[in-house]
Amino acid sequence: MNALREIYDFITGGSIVSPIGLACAIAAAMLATHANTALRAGIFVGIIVLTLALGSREKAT
Amino acid sequence: MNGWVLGGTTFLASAVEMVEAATIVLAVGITQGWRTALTGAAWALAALAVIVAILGPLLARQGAITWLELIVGPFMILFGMAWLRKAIWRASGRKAMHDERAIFDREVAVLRNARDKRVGFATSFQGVFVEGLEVAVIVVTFAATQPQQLAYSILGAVLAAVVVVLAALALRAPFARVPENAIKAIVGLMLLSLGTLWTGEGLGLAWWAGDATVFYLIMLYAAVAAALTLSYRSRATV
Repeated sequence: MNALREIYDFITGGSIVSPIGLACAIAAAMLATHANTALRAGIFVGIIVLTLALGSREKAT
Repeated sequence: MNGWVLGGTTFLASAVEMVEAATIVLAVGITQGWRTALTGAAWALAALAVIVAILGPLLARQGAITWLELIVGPFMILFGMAWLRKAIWRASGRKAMHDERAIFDREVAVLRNARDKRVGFATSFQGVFVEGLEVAVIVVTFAATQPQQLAYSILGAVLAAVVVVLAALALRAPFARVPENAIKAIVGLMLLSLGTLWTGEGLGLAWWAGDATVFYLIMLYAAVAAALTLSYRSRATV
């Protein structure tokens, strides 16, 4: 478990918000097929910006 | 993507990792002798060379670019976000500035008490191997979607190695004066922006300005990071 934890921390920097936010951004971009591609790009970037903002509110590690 | 931008990004990202490795090797060299320190570093570099030789041929497959973008892009976003988050925390005072002098002193204190030279060897090996592996990943991933520009990526890392080694030889002391947080913030911005661009391309998104969108992304993320830093600073002073 420690090894898995270390790998997780290495990839995410110990953040819980970052991987969830990234997964949401990818899912949204994949699902929003009805929107035009520029809007899909905007949604994708918007969710990443939101993730960065929420992630920076996490406890400093 | 402009090859020089790619090379510059690789240079900065590699330099940060190499400064950390050089600090550890210097600490081992001063306390347990340069032979122990350099032997550990040399073995680490040999192990890295084998790994890079195995991963290298993967870059030649042009057809896998979309998949590579989808695999590499999210990792770059996560790495970039982690670096940028820490830079924001440090700039706003929520986390102590990364201090190479403190790391150096801590390594020296541990090593002075160690009788066994193997501790020095292992420390030097681990420091160079882990940081070197990160450099190798940076070089490989940065050029993964543009194999024809691998030379720029390698050039960036080689120049970073030359600069850091020359600086280490000249200073023979940790690089406490390097504004590490500023470099980490810039690297975080670049990783996040390139990761966003590549993941988006892998998902089939049409970027507003093609590859040049990366510059708009850098400006956007920089503005968000600056706003977050100022916000946390103002809260801390209230």
